[in-house]
Amino acid sequence: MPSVTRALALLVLVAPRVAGAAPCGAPDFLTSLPRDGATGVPINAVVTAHYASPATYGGESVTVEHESPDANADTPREPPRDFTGVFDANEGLLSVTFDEPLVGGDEYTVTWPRLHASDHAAKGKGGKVAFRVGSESDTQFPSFGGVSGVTWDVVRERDDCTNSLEDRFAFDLTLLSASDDGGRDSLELVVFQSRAPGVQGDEVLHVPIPAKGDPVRVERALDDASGQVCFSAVVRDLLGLPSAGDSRAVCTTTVPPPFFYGCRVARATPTRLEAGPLTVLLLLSVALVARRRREAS
Amino acid sequence: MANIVPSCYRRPVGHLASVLRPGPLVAVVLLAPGVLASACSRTGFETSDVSTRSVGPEARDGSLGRADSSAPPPPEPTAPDGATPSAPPATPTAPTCSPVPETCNGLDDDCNGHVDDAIAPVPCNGGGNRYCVSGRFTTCPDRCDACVPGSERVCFHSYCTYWAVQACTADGKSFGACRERLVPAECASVADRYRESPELERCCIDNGYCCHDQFDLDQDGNRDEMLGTCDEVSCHP
Repeated sequence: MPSVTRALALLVLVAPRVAGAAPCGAPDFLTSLPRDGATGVPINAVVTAHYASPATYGGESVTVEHESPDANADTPREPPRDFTGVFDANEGLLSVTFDEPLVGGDEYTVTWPRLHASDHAAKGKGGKVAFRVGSESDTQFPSFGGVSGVTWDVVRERDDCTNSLEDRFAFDLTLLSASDDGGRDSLELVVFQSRAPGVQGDEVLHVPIPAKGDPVRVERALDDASGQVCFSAVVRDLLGLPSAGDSRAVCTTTVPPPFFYGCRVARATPTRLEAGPLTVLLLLSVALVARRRREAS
Repeated sequence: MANIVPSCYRRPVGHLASVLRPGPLVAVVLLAPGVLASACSRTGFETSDVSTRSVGPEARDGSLGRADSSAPPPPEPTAPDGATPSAPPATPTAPTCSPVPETCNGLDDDCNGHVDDAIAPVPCNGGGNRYCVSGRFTTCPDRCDACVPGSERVCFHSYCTYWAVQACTADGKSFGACRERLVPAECASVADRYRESPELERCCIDNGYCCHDQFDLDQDGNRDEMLGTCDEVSCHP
């Protein structure tokens, strides 16, 4: 019997290892700029794709197809071209700079490759985006008002890697207006978090800027965002040029779970009154009742 | 007499300790709602206007928290390398503005009416950029927040095998729970003899694992870090 017990114990201990072998944290293609379906893309645009960490780039080809709206069935299609990108491992950004300007009015389709993770051979998902080029170049720095508001909550979601529920602070940031000569849709939002206003910030998010009026969500580990948290942001265009550094920032103060939903007593008037007459009266009543009971017993 | 208005708000559970400290008073609180106001003020509950607080379900948008300030004070002028500029230029409101090239310092150096504008990002080694934000350059980004998603490090339990593993979450922002595993053969005798101990952590490190530094073997005061072969786990390989 002891051997059976030992075998069962071993099975229990080995089981999590097997469960943990399921793929998680794959370096999937997330987003791209220009985004899929974008129009009016500047002719000097650098195309960029964002991959999930931990992506590594081994020189995989980025395939670009170019199609002119004037082309007809008799015109031979231009063959797809393969480009080698430049990979920024810290931000997970794969970029392609074209050797000549894009053709205004034409449509381009970019096939982003599947990349490897750094610690195993599995490949993540690739992506395919199409966009139409405008007629102008992007030459100016973008303009951005900054972050105007923040709300927070705690979210709890099942994690694929740990197979358990993980808590996160979820901050919804309200953004002020942004613009660029390359078009608003070509802007990427970069969000920074700091412990106080004016303190050096850490980059916590970079995503294509959301639609006008939509908030952007930043999720942070509880240890990284408890207490006072400040957020600021810049936008950068398709050439990587950022908006000015004086954009508006916001701060909030978070409380980590577990929460106690307690009863709070607040006055309608702002003045402080440590012990009101009614309170004193009630305390005296309680004391008298207690005294009478003691005497009666 | 002041009008007492009860309402509910959120506090961390740890706050209960300060609320419940005066035991007899708690009993009084339970007896008479009128006493509650006094009790709360004595035991740490704040009685200030809720609407000025940064957290609480009173937020009209239904969220649990909201911003409590939005306009940061002007930062101290700082150069990209962290040094303070020796001669700060005039602001646009100054009677005279002498244009100089714009730098990241929270000032309108070139007198064009815009602060810290048209400042190119500073490339970082290994990727990413530093941006001028609020008069300072941001830090260089890392490839992840806390750990490489899906990676694992060894941690140590006080029972059974004394050996366990923590997986990094899919978003790379934290490690999950420390879950027990079979101790590898090379450390089995150490676990048997010393159990959860600095010796077992040393064995973990010496045998090529990435190990949670629970016993601060490097004596830097940080027990949250990891030691050993952690290139595939750490955000700073």
